[in-house]
Amino acid sequence: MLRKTILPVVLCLAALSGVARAEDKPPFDLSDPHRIETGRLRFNGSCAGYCHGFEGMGGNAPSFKGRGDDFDPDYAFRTITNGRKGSGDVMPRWGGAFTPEEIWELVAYLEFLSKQKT
Amino acid sequence: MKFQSNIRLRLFALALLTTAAPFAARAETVEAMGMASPNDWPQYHRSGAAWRYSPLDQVNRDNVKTLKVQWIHQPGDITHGLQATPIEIDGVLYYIGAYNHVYALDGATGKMLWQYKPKLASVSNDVFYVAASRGVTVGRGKVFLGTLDGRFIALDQKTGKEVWSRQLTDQKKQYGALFSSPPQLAGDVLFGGTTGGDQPQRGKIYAVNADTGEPAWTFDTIKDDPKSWAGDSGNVGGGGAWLPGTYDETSDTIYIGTSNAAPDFFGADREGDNKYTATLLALDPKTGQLKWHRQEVPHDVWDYDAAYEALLLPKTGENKSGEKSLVHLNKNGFVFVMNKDNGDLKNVWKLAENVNSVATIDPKTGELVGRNEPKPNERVLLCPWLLGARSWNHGAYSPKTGLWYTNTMEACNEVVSRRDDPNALKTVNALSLGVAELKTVAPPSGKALGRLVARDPVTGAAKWSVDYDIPALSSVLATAGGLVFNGDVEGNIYAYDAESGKKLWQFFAGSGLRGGPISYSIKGKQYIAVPTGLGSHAVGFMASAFPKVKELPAGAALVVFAVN
Repeated sequence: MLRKTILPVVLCLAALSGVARAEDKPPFDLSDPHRIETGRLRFNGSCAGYCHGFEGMGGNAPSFKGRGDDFDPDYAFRTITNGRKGSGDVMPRWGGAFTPEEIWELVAYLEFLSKQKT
Repeated sequence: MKFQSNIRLRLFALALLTTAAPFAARAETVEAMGMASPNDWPQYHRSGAAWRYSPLDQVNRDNVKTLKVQWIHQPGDITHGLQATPIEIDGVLYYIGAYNHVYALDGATGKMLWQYKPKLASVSNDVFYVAASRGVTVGRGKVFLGTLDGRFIALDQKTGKEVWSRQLTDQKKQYGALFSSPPQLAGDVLFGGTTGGDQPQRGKIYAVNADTGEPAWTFDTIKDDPKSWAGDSGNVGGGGAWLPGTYDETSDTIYIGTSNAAPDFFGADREGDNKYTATLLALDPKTGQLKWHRQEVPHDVWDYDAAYEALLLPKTGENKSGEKSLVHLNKNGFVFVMNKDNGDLKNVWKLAENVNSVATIDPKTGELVGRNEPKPNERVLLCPWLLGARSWNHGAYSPKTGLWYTNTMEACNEVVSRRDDPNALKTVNALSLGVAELKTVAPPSGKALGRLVARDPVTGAAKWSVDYDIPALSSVLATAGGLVFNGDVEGNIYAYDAESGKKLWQFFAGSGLRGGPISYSIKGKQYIAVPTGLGSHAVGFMASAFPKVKELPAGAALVVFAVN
């Protein structure tokens, strides 16, 4: 009984605290050119238009291109999955739209951009 | 205390008036419609003529330099800025902030009379067009709003208590279709459309009984005709009528425009003219039947909505040639002038300087000549960009000068089109852009910029213009005091001489303008109310071509001015 009560609470807290789950780790090499290209097309179709700009250089969000060591793939995955409310702006949750693997492909493209020169 | 009593008395009188409204005489001319209720701002565009013109002249060219802040109201939530055009009737000002939070304020002091915050369905947090609303509608003793979770709601005008709520869209099945604009009144019919052309949805315009919320009719903006839509492509064809329509009481007609077709830039799977997307519709308010329509962009592949305001010109005044004219800007940079009673074309003139999506438009037939379409696997420069030759921020018309004042944008985008991945179109926040690449760029002729222009609305003849480094996103206000008010994205509010464009007054509000300035009078004192606070998706998109936008602060504050 106690176990039935506590387990969901622990799982809930784990989710809220950002404890890593299976899908929190990329299921492929983020430097895989094919995955980067797939992520690029997905980014351009869903993210670039109104919000993040071509090659992640526009929008209100911080630029992705040339971001360097400041880019954190795990944080990017969680933000894309769960959405984010910032100062004056909202990024909707994309976790329902894309599978974890598809989101990691987006992350692969963003990491690729972060290593490019502006 | 005494003033409170006055407010209550005014509201009681208003309730009597609104109850009697169905029996009130309708305006017989566009001019009478545009000049009615001179002390108030009773509708989104002030009247069904969509002039955004106040007949008040206490604030004028001679004294505008003494304009001072009277009061400020802050809604507290700055998400997507403050996009509303306030409504003022009999001394009470009504407006809406982020997440459909509605306020009723004493128009002279800013003191809050009531507020209302709906409990929104959690699915509305997952949609793309979150948080923002363009206003409320007031009439028949009620305050109406369209909600972010797909409802029309009626509030008691005196108390702000909910009278009825009607769920109209199913956001889980309609890709987050929501009401970002206030539904409008046409007699006892309340009507409005949903966002947008960028979702893979089938657009609809909904109408309900304004007193009960009972559904009256629904207009399908996707024509059921294989000549318009190949196969079942219309089911994901877009066509949302996402801006407020207008009601022409002189002819008992609703005008409302529709968005682009979806996918925005990839048209191969939707062969046909894609009616009624990118179309101005004239509807019978009682039945929702189509009276006439004009599709401005057949088979749109550029994201060129026809959703903007339908400006009606008076028969009298300076503009004799404008008799019975309806003036309608399309995002493609052309202004369509037509007969307001049947849609017959009178003229088409080019507003934007940089246009290459077509070579021209035939001013007699409306035919798009020399289409320059996006292509798969090839980067094509297209002007204007997807925000259009102007965003949705409305223009203003002065019957005194006969001029139309509107903001414009000079910017382009480079597009590589692509069939959408069907797997990416399954959820409520799905966008159906149909692009492999989308990049905003400056026009080939030079610098990307914005302008406030004064034009003859029928011929397009230019009178004056003011350049801005970044396009302004505020709606424009014209007044009988010979003034034109506008605001930029940096937070500067300007008053210009309506005849010459000379800047007469300026005030820095701290955050840019995205809403609609209005004017009204209480106890003989004229007020200018200016929604400030930068936000909206347009700002995000602009940043690629106008990098300084990234540095501009968000905000939300209604700032009200008067001369002392």
